[in-house]
Amino acid sequence: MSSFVSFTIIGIVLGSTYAIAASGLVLTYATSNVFNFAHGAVGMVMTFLYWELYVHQGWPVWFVLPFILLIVAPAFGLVMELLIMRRLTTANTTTQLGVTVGLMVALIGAGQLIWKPGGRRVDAFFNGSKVSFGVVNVTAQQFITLGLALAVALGLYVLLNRTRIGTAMRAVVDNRELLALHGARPNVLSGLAWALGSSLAALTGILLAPQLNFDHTTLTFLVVSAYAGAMVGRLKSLPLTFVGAIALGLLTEYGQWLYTELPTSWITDSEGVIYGLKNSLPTIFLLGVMLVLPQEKLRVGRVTGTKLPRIPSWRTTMLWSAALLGGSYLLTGAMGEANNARFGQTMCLPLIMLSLVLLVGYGGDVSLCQLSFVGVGALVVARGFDIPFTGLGFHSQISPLSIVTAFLLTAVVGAIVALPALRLRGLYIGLGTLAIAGAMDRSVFESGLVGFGAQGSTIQVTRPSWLSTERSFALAVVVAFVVTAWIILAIRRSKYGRILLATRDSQAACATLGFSTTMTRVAVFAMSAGLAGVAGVFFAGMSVTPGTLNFYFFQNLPLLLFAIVFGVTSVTGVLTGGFVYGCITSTFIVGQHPDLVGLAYIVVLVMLRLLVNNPNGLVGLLFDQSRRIMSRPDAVSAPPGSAAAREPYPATAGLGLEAPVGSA
Amino acid sequence: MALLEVDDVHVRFGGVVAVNGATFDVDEGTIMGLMGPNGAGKTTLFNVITGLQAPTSGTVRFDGKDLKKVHPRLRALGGIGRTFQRLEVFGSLTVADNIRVAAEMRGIENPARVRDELLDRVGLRAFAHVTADSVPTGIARLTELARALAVSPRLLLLDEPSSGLSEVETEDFAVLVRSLAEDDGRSVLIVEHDVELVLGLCSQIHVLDFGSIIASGTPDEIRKDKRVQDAYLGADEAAAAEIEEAV
Repeated sequence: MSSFVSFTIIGIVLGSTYAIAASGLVLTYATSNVFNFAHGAVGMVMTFLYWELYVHQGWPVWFVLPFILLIVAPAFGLVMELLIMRRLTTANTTTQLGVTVGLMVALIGAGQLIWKPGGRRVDAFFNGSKVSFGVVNVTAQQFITLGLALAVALGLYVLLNRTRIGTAMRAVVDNRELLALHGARPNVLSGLAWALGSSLAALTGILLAPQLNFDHTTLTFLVVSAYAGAMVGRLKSLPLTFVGAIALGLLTEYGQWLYTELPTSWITDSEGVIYGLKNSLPTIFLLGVMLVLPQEKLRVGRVTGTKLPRIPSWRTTMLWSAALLGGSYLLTGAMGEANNARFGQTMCLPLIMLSLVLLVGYGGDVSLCQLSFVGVGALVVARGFDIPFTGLGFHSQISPLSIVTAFLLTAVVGAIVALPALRLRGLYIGLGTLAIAGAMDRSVFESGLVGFGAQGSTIQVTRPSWLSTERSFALAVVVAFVVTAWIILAIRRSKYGRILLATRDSQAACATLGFSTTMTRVAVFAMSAGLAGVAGVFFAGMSVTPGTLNFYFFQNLPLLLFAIVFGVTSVTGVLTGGFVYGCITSTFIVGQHPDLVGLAYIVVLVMLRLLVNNPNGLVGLLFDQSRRIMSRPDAVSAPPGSAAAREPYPATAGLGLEAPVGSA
Repeated sequence: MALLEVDDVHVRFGGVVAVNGATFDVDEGTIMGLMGPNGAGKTTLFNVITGLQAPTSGTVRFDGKDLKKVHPRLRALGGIGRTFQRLEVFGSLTVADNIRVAAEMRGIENPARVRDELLDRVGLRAFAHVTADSVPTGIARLTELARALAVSPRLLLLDEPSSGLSEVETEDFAVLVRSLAEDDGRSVLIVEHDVELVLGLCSQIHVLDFGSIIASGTPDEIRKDKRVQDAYLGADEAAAAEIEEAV
């Protein structure tokens, strides 16, 4: 019984920490409409700074704490607001997601660059002294955490609901310009919110630090669990956020308690499934919350439509395909087997990213579990599958049958993942899919029973004999890329492509035409997952021994990031983005320079910053530039970029309308 | 029996009464107008009819059936089409594809022919290959109209269709709407600022002000109605001048 009471106390304390993090998130979301994926990463950096000053440099704690919480963290929040968030308030969800994820990845990169991974620890406040209450002990740290959570709750409530500044802060999100006309200073207000939010993130990290594995990703992602608390409050209500966070803390700790009470034999027999399940409780909680959130209403009067890059003609597609294949053939001919293996692994990334074109680029949905789909595809081929009644089956071999099976099974998984997506959109799907990716890591991939096993790399995948060399298989990956690209372009040209874009542009208009967008979105999720599954087969074949680490959920973030930066709306965009990302991972990580990865991410963030208002990415910018140059003769009479500069018009007829001069 | 029956519909947003007991019918094959100054509750009423906004109280019946709790999509399948005051074109598709995709979504046979017919009928030929987010507002409105027509609605709700059209274009537009009712037998419910257009086009007109219907009748009756003139005078002097001109 006493263990139950202690787990309750630990749960409430953990919940309080989540509550502090979640309230910071709600605060910034409520004032700027930007959901900050980097919230945890800010906390992480600040916690490392705390370690640096307090533990490493030995400064006194009474100075370090206020210095970080009241000066450094708020200043960081202000800079974030000034440089990035201010411009994001009106951007679409994909861009918002991309930029804040980019910031998160860059902060982790910067963190790793400054503080090399390695054993660090921070002691609890007052050296972990405890107060005894009969059967249980409560530490000073736990008292402080509870007290701070209460203070934060009360303080934020009073600030937002009882003060003029609070009211004005809540108004910023609705209409900056209007608020400015009424004499408030929107930039100051949202700066204040981000300063506070960043300070709360720092506080969370510092409170959590003594009980954790002190490393960059654990700190960043523990706060992700706090997102579930914020979801309970629908990113608006602070009281509900607190309730949700405490519930999550209790759930996590009760799971832990149950785990210690279970017979040991059950746990060993399950080969990691129960362990994984226990660790996935926050995820399950988040998914549960998403399923009971009220369905998003149809909205009208939003900005709709993003101009996509023009569909290339079949002839252009053919030429580029031939150039890619020919180039790869010559390149692999000139390189040795080791480099060909590296080239093949690099080319897997554009192949994986192609599946995002359909879902994110055309469909306007978001997936942060695409790599998990890739993992499922790899898993299908690695573990093998016997098709009932037919006598057909395969075990760890790459064959047409394993490719088709991987496609179908992954598509089914994709459709299931899409279920919460039926009711929600944008941000929530991003969070939900990331949560799913995390759960897949722990309860599927790491499991010895159904997955690769905890450290993976035990199952060997065999290639067909005629593709046994690195060169031939690398070329097979390029062929798979070309074929998938053709499939995607064919979909884009077809009726389904038009319907997909229409669904993305206006759900309200679709509804008033009598069309249900639900099935379209499930179908596109399934199709995209299936293509990712096929990419997984090729990935497995290329790496020979696929393992859990290849599909670690965190890698979904840079994957989506690079796709967005280079242009997730076009095949060329993901080819470039995937190639660059592939080069970074295979050159820096495989080539033993992991510290440079962080630097690369920072560079990407800077590029992303330039793209806030260009959803077609870097490649989209290039397309626009080249078109502008090509159409220079027309551009004399029309400003570049206007409708008239892009399209020739035949003589007008009908209602006596004139050809457009400007755009609407 | 009227095709559309709106009965004592109220919509309240917190303390604000957007629609206050609106009651009217739309008969088959007729053009009915809803007039009123900004904020009179016209668009809200449209949203109630198409199901994007639930009424606080009151009923809407279409073809004799109570539409309470009927999803917007099913209302559309039943034959209610609409355009939007704040545009909801499919911005990344061309004007032609906006029309075609509507037919494709509903599985209508030969969507390419539907597209070609409507491009000619609505007069969008010249803009067929321009993406819808880069055409002028007036053209985007016509695109929405053509898109709605692609699925052959029995009742068409037009929300401020003429804003953004020039005078000549508006005249052509009136001819088109009249033909929708007279040749196709569709019912049209039109919300308009352009008083002249409404008076010239509709057989029956209701005037809304602050959520309530303050006058109903034929164009002639509306012209003479003192309350209508007051409402317009109170709200918008330019529109009042227009009314006087029309009278």
